[in-house]
Amino acid sequence: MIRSFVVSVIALGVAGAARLAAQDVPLSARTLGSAAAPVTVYEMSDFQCPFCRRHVLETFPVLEQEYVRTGKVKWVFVNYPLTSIHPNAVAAASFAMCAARQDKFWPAHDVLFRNQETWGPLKNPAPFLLTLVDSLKLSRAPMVACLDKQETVAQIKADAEGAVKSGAQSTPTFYVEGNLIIGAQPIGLFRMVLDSAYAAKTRKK
Amino acid sequence: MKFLGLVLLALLAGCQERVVTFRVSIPDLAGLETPVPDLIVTFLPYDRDSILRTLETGAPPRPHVGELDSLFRAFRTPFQRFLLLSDSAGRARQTADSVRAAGLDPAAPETAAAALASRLAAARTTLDAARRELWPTITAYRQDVAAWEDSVYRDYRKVTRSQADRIFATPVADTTDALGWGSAAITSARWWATARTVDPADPNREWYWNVRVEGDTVHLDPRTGRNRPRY
Repeated sequence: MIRSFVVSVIALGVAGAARLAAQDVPLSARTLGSAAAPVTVYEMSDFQCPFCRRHVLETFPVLEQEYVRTGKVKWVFVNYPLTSIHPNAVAAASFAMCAARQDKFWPAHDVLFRNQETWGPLKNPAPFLLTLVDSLKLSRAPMVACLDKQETVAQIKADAEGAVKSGAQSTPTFYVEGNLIIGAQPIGLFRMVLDSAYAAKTRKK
Repeated sequence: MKFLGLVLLALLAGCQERVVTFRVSIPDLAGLETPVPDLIVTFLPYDRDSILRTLETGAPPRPHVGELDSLFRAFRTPFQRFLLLSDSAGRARQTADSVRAAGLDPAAPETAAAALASRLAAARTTLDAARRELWPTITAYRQDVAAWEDSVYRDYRKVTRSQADRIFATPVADTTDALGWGSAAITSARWWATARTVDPADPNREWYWNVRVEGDTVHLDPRTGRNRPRY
């Protein structure tokens, strides 16, 4: 049963990735690592989720160092805002996706998570988010236009639908070569899964 | 692959949406269970009562409990008599009006309605007198109780904030609709639904709930709540 679930998740994941690649902000704009990396991780995440923040601040820097920069893994960010419990999640995701159009997704990603406790509780996060434009050295006019016209919201929604189809029910959820890691797990668990996935991928070659 | 099929479940390490529906109902004056509209129900990611009990450990007892119970009893009698007569007088008036509208002799129902109206006026006088006599003492005792709560529960906010922060959850609230229903989007942590509303049969008592949320629907009713004095 688990095997058939995983197979279906793989199929959905591939289909979702192909669909996303055809859209406005390509996955490459929110992918870290070499395109030739044998292992791909899709991180389905919510900018307002405190567990996602914990992962980004505590675990991901080590993973980036050990797996992404070494060419073993490419890391793809997929938006999965949980809007009923995180009312500012879409605004933050929009900010990151608009920044991606200026090739600044990851700097925006980092600053959003670092400052989550500031903009997360705000009734209207837009003014605060706009203060990040300058610090990220983003071109202001296209950024404001992108946010005002909600140009990336449809894509965020499509991301979220893809995440759900891939089996994610909470954030963060990581899709790693046909497997799901659910939650902000400790580094040791990621190492175990990524090492195993890398070994399997390179052994095939 | 060696790890194929590995699915890790760790709900407390992630954010998850969960919508809970709730309904609030209490007995009305006739004892019939009735929905409570416009009531705020708060979902807390901690057990409020348990925290309060812990904070009360070692504290002096709540002041004036015996005196307030006695004062509440003294007020309840004229209050409930007034409520009862108010209901009867209303119905008698309606009967008299119906008889008159039907073109029948209204003398008898009018006499009954007038008698009840007179008894209602007397009951109101008694109630007002009770209020004048008892309320200043009740109010003064309640101020002492409030001061006691401020002192004994002074760390409540700190404790609850720390508990909520630990699991990245903040309280959420919703207001019941006309039929007593409401809903709240909460995360996957453990939650308690808490609410209170004055008992319509006694202004010095209230219905209080602190119910552990299990499943998708929470019923806040006489079976899950407590009817308690409003100290």
